[in-house]
Amino acid sequence: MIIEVVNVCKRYVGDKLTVDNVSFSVDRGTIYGLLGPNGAGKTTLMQMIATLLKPTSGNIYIDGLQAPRDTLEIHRKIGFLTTEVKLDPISTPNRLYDFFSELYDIPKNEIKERRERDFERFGITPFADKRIVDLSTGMKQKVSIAISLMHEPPVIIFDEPTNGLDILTSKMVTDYLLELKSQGRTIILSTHIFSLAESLCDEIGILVDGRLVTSGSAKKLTEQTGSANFEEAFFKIYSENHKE
Amino acid sequence: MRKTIVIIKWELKKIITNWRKALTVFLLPAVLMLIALNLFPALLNYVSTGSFGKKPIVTINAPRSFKRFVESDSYDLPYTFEFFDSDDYDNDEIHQLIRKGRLVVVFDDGHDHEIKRYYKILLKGEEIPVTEAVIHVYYSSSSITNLGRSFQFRDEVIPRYNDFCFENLSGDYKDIGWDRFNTDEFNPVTAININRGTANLAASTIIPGIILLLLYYCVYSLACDMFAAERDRGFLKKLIMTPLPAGSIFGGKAAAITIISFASAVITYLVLFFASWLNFSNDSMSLLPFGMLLTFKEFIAFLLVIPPTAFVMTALCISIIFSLDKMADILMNLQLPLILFLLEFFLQMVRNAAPFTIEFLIPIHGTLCAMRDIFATDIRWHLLIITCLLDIIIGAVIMLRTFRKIGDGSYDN
Repeated sequence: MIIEVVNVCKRYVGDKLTVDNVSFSVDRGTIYGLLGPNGAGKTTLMQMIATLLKPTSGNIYIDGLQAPRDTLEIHRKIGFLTTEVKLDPISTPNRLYDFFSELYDIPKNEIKERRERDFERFGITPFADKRIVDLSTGMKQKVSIAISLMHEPPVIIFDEPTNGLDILTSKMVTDYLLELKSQGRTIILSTHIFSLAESLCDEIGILVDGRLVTSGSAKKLTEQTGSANFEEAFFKIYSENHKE
Repeated sequence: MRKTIVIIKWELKKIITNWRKALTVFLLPAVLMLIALNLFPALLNYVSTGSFGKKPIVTINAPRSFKRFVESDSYDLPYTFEFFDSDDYDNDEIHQLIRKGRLVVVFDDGHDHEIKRYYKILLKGEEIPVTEAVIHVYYSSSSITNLGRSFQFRDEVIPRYNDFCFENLSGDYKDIGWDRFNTDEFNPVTAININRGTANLAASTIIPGIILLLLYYCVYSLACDMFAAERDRGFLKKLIMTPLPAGSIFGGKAAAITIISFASAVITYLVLFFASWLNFSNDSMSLLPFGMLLTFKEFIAFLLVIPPTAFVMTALCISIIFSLDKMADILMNLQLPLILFLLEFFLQMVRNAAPFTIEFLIPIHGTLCAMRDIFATDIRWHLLIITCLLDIIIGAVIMLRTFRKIGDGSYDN
């Protein structure tokens, strides 16, 4: 297991738990999907795994490491991507890449080569000297991916990977995720898009009102609920577990 | 440490490579201060006299010698004059002129004749005579500009007119009388020191308050950009996700703010200082930037007090930013100290006494007191050092508390 989430709870204010006693684990080289409607606690859970939020209770282990003791080591092992995170608008992709390279301790003699490779892969090269604010949403997301994964982390946490992207960029992102998986990387992604979860994930955890109500492959969940397809299975699970 | 420097360099580069930001941070405060210093006396003039313009000085019963003195090109007087006889105005009208901010100079009858008589007595070698050639200068003491102009008239016009009278009215006495040659007149430092002495006191009441205001403006706008805006757009999360301790990230940013605001304050000082040499205005208050002429020791003291103040201001701003969520709340709370600094500026302006020792123990206010001492050429080094140390300690405590909160994840609501 490269990721282990054990009895994790998160409470912001008041008595309501945003994440309620969630436990699951992810094997190396697999894609784990967190599926749920808006407000189910997906982003909060992802941010806790990424050490950006502190759980109210419970433990999270990344490759045997645990925050806050090993936070910085965990940061070397994970790449966190979310469309909510926006890059500095007046910087250029080139400058951002060089800046983050220094922070990730990438050897100076490798930076140029890596930058050219990554920018070429995502088609960023013609825009490398343009300011972020002048780039399209899709291009911004590509720059964000290139920068977040420049240190080649074994674990990738991707919150709503295709949110706000056009179909071409979405396709590029999903293809890239499959490529990362084939390289042996472990990926956790959160989404509310059934087709994405079904086509990409080896295992899907369904979050309802902060609780992980069930998990398994799309096929297994469909069969378990006696549904015709995964979408129908999800709605059954949701209606059985959602409290008004 | 190396990573902290990377953050500092990144933040500095972001400002320097963006001309709009660079102008806003480095030049705008200087320009604002320049405008304020030139506009403020005019406004004060308007408030106290109801007029923006500098009206000519009203002279009553001016003798022929004074008219010739004024018309002479060799004296380069910073005034224009209007000449009237005593029949032209009665007392009430003169009072009205003074209330409107005019300077009224009244000469005694027979002024020139009296001067000639004085020198004749001196020529005869008789006992030192008492002259009755008196010049009365009437001004409104409730108007700072009017008061300033009257002092300027006394210090700059009367001595030159004295020389003129000696040259033109002393008759034969000039040949045997002692020469008024003064070596110091050839020494530009003397002239500078005379102006400086007048302007320093005024500068010590006004400049520190404005510098602190502008320093805070700079710190607050940078803190908003580097912390609040970056947190708002999520870029701060991207930085936190790097293998860099949060303390290094925030420390680097705080150091960048301190460096930039320090540079901005020094640039503001230099712009004003050099602008004072280009000032050809005949307004006595325009001498104010002249008071910024500091000796080397004073300049070092000035450089010493700025960074600790910028540091404690930065710590305060970061603490406010991380105790609030909404951008509108952050902006409002960060602007509140600006009102306090403005109030402090006005209080210092009307204050005549030197700061009390205990005032140096109040963070930021202590800096104002130290700067006041510097501009008044009366540095109390031990108090200045205590102020700097206090600012550093309090800034560090606030910053550590904030970083601990961020590290705890207790800010993440």
